[in-house]
Amino acid sequence: MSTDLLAGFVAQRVARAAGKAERVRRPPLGVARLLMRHAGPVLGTPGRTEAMDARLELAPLLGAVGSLGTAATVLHSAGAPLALLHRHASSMLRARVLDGALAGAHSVAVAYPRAGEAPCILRPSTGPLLAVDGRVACVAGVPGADWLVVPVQVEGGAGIDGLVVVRASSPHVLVDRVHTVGLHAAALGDVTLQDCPVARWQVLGSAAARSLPAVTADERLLMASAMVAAMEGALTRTLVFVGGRLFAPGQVLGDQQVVRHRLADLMADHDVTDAYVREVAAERVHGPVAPHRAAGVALVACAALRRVAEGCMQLLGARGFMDEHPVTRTYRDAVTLPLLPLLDPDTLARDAAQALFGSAPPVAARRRTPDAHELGAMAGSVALGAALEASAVMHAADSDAGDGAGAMDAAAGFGRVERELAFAGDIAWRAP
Amino acid sequence: MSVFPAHPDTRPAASEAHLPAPFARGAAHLAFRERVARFVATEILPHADAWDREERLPRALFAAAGRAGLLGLAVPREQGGAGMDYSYAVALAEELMRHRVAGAVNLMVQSNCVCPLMARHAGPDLADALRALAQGDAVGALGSTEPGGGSALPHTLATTAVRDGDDWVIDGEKAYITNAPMADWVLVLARTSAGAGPLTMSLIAVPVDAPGFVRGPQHRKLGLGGSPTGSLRLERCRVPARYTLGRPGYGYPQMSALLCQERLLIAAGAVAYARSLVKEAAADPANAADPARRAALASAHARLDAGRAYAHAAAARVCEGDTDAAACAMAKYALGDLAQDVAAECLRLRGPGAARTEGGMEAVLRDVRALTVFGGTSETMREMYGGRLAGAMRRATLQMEGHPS
Repeated sequence: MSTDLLAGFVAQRVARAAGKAERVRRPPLGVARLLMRHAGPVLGTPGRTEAMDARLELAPLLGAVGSLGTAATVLHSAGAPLALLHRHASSMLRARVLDGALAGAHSVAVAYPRAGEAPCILRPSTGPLLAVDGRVACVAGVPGADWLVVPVQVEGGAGIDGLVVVRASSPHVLVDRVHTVGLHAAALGDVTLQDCPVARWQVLGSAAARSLPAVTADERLLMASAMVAAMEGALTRTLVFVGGRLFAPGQVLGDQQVVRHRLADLMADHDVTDAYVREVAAERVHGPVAPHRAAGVALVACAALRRVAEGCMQLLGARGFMDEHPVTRTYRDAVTLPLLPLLDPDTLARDAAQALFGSAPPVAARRRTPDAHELGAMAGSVALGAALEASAVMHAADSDAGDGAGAMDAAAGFGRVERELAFAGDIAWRAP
Repeated sequence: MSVFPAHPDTRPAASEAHLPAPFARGAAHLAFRERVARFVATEILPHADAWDREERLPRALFAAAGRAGLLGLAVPREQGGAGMDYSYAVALAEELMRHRVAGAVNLMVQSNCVCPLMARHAGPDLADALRALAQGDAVGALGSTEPGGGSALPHTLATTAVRDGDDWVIDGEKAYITNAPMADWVLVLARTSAGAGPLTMSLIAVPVDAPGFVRGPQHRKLGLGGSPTGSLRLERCRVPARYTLGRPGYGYPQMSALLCQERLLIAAGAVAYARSLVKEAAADPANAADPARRAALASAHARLDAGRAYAHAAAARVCEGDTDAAACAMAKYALGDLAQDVAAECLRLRGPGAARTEGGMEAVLRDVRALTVFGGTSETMREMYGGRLAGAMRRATLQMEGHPS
């Protein structure tokens, strides 16, 4: 889909849908799916430079619509979930999930982890099935999504060990809609998984977990681009207002030095953020950006959006306090964005800090000797780890993409798991 | 149009193709930055503390800078300079400022103000002076600010120059002039025709040995001790009229065009200054281990990255011949304010010990206040940028007339 067609689609279909979505407080998933049907071949094939090009063109168009909830919904639909599935899904997962998402038949959401929150736990269940338990707060794209990509930790492990894909309508998945002051057109929900069964084909594996930072980086960059466009919209409206609003006979608000200076500060905020986003976007077109770069961009954009929205509201006076005013909506969206794990300030700061400090500080290790029960649990978790690695091996062999590197990683990981299994002295499961 | 010539060696390296050319850090740019770093390490750092304490800057530094090819960036090679484009001026500003050294401002004034103005506007009678300035054999200063005003010169400028035969006779006083205590040439802005307004002033190159030129006392400042500034008086100072730069009456627009670009350099330098503080703070194990401090420094680092991106994008447009005065003003105040905020954060992380003279940060406490003052105060810059917004407001209102906002 060419840029002109994208722009036309956004201006006509998305803008109309956004208005309704804001009023009824439901995400415009229909228009997101419509976009995938028309632009799926361009937007839904991550790994091609053109795909990121197209999404980087789409993001500011969506931001300019004036509903960041809509922007988040549409960008997410065409972004991270498809990237993860495209790179790591087995043929069965592709057939059941990815192909439908690319055709706009259903939608997929990613439950991003947030710094300081415990990830969902993957454990053995009955027979060949695994099960996942846990809770993820403020997942964007639910309710409404058909499938969820959930980062999981193997029981007893540390960090994110892999990703699993679960059906959102499963009776083991409870979604509570989160009502917020802003982002009304975004589906936000707290997701609770209770003994949710996971078959092997639903496991994306540890290679997918290693892809998560890069995919997250892309999403952050796209949202930053949308935020810059939203800032520009708010500033334009404010410029018009202070340029036309009479303050005294023959004088408008904008004639006051304090107003001009305030507006100048807000424009500076926008201009500097815009330059930063453009620089990193230009970098992305030529290849992946470092996660800390994208985190830095998102950190700056979120803060600037909040300052600009607040400043514009202030300059609008009473109008800025009217709920239905577009600038007021931008303000409400701006203060709500940090609820998203993708844009959580603590998570962004942690990731951005890697630019200065390298990797995150190590988690303190336990020092005492594990008892027999713990050894058994560890053996079980090691077995699960082996399951994840083996799934990755199977998927790599099975996948059309043939992620050879992922298979090698999985084989190396399996070798490590084998050694750990021997140490634990209790082999609960051994891969063929 | 940039006062800096176009330079051919600014092709980006393939791996840097995403950066705004010519800021792609190709081999030529990297080599230049290394040259500046070597110059700072050998010629400045060993003496910086002493110069700061003694509030002096030796002329020999200018000679060394000239030999290193750092003063005549904007001067064509055939006139004794390096013939480099504006991107190298930005690189020079960043490299000098990130070391937080005495003399950075003084060298920048000569390299970014005096030499470019002379290169672009001086006649053949000043060719030797230009060559000497570009090669560091002479020191130059820009004399525009007066005790009575600096921001609204078209209305407040009191220094006058009256034709007497083939000479100008200049009367007036200048203050806060960087390099004034040791200058050999001062580019003086004087009113040369009646009335007020931007086209009543001329820039005149005044040699300090001209009759009637009186060098005033060096200013004692809060900070930047190693960056001498001073005052000067012109008491019926007689200077050949052929020492006028460019067309008589056009001194203010000539200087303004140059000052726009200088403001952007100060903005880029301010960001580099603050980045050096952040990197030092990040190297402190106490900061690296504390999550809140890590987050604060990460946020500061990201904001400075954004500032640098803006400065480079604006500078790239200058290289293409598009100098946006309002954007340069905005960069100056926004990035200067940002640098001060970040410096304050880094000083806060250092704790009360930052104020101790042996701590190494005490000079920052004093020096950083200048970032929002020299080159035009933040308030003046806001007014310049705000003035453009006023025009934008009127245009936007006219377009929207009849439509509710």
